[in-house]
Amino acid sequence: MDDAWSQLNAYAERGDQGAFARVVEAHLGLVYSAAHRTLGNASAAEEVTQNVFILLAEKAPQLRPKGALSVWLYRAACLLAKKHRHREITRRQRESQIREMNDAFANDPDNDLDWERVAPLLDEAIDALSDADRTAIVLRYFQKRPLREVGQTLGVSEDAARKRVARSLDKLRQWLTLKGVTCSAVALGTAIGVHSVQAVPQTLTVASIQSAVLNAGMSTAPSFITVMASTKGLFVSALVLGAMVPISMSMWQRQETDPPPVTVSEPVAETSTLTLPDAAASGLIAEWETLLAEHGPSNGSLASVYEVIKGMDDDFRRRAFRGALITEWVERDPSAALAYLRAHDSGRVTQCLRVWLHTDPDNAIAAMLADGDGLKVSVKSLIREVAELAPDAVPELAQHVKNTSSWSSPVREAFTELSERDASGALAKCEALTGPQRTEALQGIAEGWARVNGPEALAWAQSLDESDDAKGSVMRRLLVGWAKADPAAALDRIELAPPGGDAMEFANDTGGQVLRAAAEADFDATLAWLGDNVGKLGHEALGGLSREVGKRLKEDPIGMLDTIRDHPAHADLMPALNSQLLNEGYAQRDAVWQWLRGQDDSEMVKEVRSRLMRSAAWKEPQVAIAWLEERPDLFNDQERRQLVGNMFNGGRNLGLIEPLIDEAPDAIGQMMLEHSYAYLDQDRLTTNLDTWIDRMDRLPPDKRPMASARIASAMANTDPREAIAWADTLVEPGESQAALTEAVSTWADTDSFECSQWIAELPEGTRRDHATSSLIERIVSAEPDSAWQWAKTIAEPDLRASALSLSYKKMHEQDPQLAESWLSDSGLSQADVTQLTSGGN
Amino acid sequence: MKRNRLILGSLLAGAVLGGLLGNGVRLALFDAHESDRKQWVQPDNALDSHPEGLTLTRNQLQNQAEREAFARSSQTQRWLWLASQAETASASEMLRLVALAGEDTELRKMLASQWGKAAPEHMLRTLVSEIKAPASALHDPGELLRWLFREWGERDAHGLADALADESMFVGYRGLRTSAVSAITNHDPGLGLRLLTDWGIQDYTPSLSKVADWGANAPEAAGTVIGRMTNPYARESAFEELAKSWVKSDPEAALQFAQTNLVGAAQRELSAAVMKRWAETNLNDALTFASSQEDRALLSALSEPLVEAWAKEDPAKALAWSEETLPAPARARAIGAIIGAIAADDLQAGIGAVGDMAPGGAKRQASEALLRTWIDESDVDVAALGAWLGNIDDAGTRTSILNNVQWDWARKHRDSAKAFLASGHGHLASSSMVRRVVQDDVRQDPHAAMEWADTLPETVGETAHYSIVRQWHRLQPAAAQEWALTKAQGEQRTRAIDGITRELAFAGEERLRTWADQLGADERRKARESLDAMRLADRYAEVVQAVFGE
Repeated sequence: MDDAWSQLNAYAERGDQGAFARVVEAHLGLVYSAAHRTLGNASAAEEVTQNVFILLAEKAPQLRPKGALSVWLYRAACLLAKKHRHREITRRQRESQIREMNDAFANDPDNDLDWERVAPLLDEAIDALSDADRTAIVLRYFQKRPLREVGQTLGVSEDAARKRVARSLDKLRQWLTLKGVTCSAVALGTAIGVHSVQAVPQTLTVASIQSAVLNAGMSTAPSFITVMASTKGLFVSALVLGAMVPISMSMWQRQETDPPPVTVSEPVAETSTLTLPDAAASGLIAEWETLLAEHGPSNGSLASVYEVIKGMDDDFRRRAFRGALITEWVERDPSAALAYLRAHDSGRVTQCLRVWLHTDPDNAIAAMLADGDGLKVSVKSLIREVAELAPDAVPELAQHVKNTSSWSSPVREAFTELSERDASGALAKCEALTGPQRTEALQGIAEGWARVNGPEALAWAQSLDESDDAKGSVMRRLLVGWAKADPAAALDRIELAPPGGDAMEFANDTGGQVLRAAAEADFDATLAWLGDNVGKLGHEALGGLSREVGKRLKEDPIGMLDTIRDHPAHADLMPALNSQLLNEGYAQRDAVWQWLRGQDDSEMVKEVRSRLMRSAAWKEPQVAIAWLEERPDLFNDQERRQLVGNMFNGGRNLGLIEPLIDEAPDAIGQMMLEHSYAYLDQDRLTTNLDTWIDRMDRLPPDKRPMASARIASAMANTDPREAIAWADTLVEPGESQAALTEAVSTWADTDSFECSQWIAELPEGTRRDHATSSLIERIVSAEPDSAWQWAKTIAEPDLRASALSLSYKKMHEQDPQLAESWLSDSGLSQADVTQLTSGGN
Repeated sequence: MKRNRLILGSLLAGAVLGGLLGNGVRLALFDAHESDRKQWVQPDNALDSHPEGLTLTRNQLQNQAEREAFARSSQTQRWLWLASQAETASASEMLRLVALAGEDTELRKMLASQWGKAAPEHMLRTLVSEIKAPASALHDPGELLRWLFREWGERDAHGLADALADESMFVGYRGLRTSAVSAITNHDPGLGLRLLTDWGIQDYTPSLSKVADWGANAPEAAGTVIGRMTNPYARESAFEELAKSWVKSDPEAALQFAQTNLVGAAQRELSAAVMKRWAETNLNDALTFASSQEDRALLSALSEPLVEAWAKEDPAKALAWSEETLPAPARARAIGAIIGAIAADDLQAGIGAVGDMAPGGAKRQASEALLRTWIDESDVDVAALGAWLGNIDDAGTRTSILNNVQWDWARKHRDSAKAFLASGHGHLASSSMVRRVVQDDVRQDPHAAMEWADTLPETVGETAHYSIVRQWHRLQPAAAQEWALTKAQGEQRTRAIDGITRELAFAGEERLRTWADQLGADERRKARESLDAMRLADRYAEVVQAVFGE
């Protein structure tokens, strides 16, 4: 146990004033210095110092030995000083003061460490450390303890204590860097050692402290007991004492897990920074420490550590150590880290630059700009963060960002960020830009500015001296930004920007983008605007509402549907709802269906039902079938046919739908069966043709010729003679004829010569005439003269006339003279020629 | 004695009172801390009681003090702390750690890899649950899920596939399964492509970079899996990858496999891919094989890729062989490919070759190939191109080739397409070409688009105006309507009103009525006729009826 705790216990248990005085004496300098650093004022620091020891005396009975008492005193000093300061100085005055000091420092490059700048921030930085780190710093630098004693207090070896101190110092350095104070860890450690202890004023002594403690009413315990020695007092004190036991036990239990509370108005953070487990508790930490220890602590050894990590098979460990090493390396020597990664692991360069950017933006940016195109690849990923951390560097970096899209433009986003904070500053930064980057920057300025002050941004945009294209795109982004702050104002001005967008993208035009932004900012206001402006937005733009409608469908599908139904411009909300029902909103299909079942058949309800059913037909035909069966009264014949057509998706889903045909309810199953033949061809054949032949028995007579034709066509792709042979087996003449015609057509498509050879061998008659007619239809475009010759062989008059007419007309398009000579050489009667040239039949 | 009893009684009473008070004090002091801590420490069996995963509220996820400590800590500290926590965390604690990592991509990736390795199913269901939630407590849970798929797919592709087997988890979120297929295909293309088919994913082609290697080890198995695919684009691309390795080992076996094991489009695609690759790497052997084929259907399938490669070396021989050997339709396609190759090398030579051809299918194919090559030229002589098109006697051919080429022309070479429309031959273009060309102009500046349309020859101009008005109305309905009613005159006004009326057919009763009320009687009548001619579905026809009456 720390000796100081023993002293304090002696005071708490026995009222040993001498022990308390020794505690005060040992820590007076530490406490006063901490207070003085924060307050910068001797008298205020004196007051706070006294308050700290008064508090210690008050809490003495409750405190339990944990860590070093000096740390408790140090923290208490910082907190009380902070409270005191907050009463005296406003936060802005302080920041302004620091900023001025930082600016002054920035102009003085010779300043390695300005203690005056560090001092006001140091205690806050130390407070941000973990308990162990804070203890290490306080003991080592404020109390000047040797590393051995630091280790004993922390429960670690001297070497581990050394590492702990070094790491803690580095963390302090990083924290200060974030606050704009840059320095090396070595300089910081030296400065703390030199300046940490302020000379205590002569007026502040142990005796004065004790006197203050006594005056604060913290009499020693024996005095308290003496006063309460009377009978009445015994009764009361017994009651109180009895009550105090369990209360104290409860408080004690709390003390076991929590650091000592300090009675200040601001809550004390339980954990200021993350507490890493030690090596004994975490294999990963143990491995990390071993890695670093094995290869040595120097910056130069980090490369060999990286190589080891790169070779790890386990993705998780590799990523974990690699990430930690990159951050560690950047903290120590960012240039070396970057150079190494560029040469050996270029995929990590952006990660390295990102870490560097957040610790030392200026030098990170200089590195990006100084080196070749390889690093400029990272600029695209990092420019938004640069806008936040080092806005002045944005223009120079922006010029290197290329190949952006209308959806994603880092330059635009960076300038949006800048202009939201300072539009005129952003404009000034844009001046130097040219080309597409300039346009994107102007777009970003417009968007950010409009979000803050729409009318002002509009006036600026309208006065821009840029190309029409650029002005149009700037105006579009302006409206998008304005919509985020004032949806109605932006929507009212939609037509100030050209439509733009891309037909291949969903809701990508001006209206769509502005509506999307408006809906996200204020959905209700946007709906209200749509109600007041029916028909103002185009169909494409209305899709911009889709995302927000989708969100609300997830949250409350019934509520959203009711809203759409009751909206005065419900038709304008339908494109968004339709889009959702085709996509993610379909996940709410059951809720939508249930809602539909309870609705009257209005225009809107019919539209929703149609869209839902169509979506189901494409995605889950079995669900669509189930709904049709559940409520057949809701669908007329036309709608059922349309749905069945949707299921087949132009024939592509034939293989998916086919298994459902036999299980579907009769009415729908029959429609599906008939449709399936319409899409049947060799390319989509997935089942044995015999199955399709057997199914023909289920078709009505008027559908069977079509079915036989499709089957024959599918067969003819593989073996036309077999197809024709099958066609000949069909009993019904209509079916046989249709099958033969289609088989010959398919054959002629693939090999007209073979086909014609087969026809030539047929005996004269109806069969040959129909086959010839099919052949002619297939070859007439490519070989009208052959078609003409074949046509003359057809015996059946009507078929012959039709074939001749077709051939003649085709040839007449290509060679009128030749076509006329056919007629004159044909031997046809004038009446036949007239019929032929006028249409054939 | 009485006094002692009094003292003792007081002590006891005090103890009781104190016990009560003390507990109350203790609770008051502890509650804020303990309950806060308890809220984010979830039992590990939470997944069983929430099979769809955990969805924790923001309040439950983070201890305020912990979050502040995290923010105050150095970056190295954060890395090591999070990693050490993740090392021993239960699955249910991982969500909290990931939330703490915020938007730091590298930290999130590190945690995701640990979470995914230790409890991939838990991570999957949690993230899916987060994605489905109205507002996720995590930054970009979709990105975390993609990382999970990537690493899980590499480690255990089949395990990942099994975890995603339950389709009901992805209702409305089929894209998530597509992401998983993509990750799986990268490591096990056979499994990935099977899943593409089994899960009915029709609109996506994953990375096929591993298919060639897979095919090198098991070409027939690969051919079978790919042949079953119902996604035609993915299938064709997969066959092309398979052909890369199969042609190296045994192209004849590949073609034989296609003939005996595949049907329809799959057969054609594999045959064409193999022949293309074969012809590019060893033209003589490929030609010898093709020439020896008696099966004319097979010859047809192989011819086009063969002559495409051959034409680059010796177009004359390729042409002669095609005319002599190939059946008619295949011959036409082959000749078209040859002419395309000639024109790519020398446009004028290609023009000459096409001009010498007899009318027919081959000339049609060749003309289309020539036109495609011509529009890709960096500096198109629009006048010459228009004259050439105009000289094609066969109107059917002209219409056909323009229809096939116009989409690419309007999309990729808008300037030359616009110049063509404005030329004396612009009337040859179809209305869909005009529509595609004006699309981007309308978006940039509808008024300028109208002014440009005013400069076009009459028939083209009419089509352009009509198309512009309709597209303008989709984007800025009020402005388009105002133009139609106040600026357009005569026939232009009539067409504009017709176009807008048709646009409003599906826009709901209020919009249609508002529009109709602005029309004169004659215009209302024409509008009604136009809508009736559209043969609208019943629910839209009812709206028309309500607005226009009988």
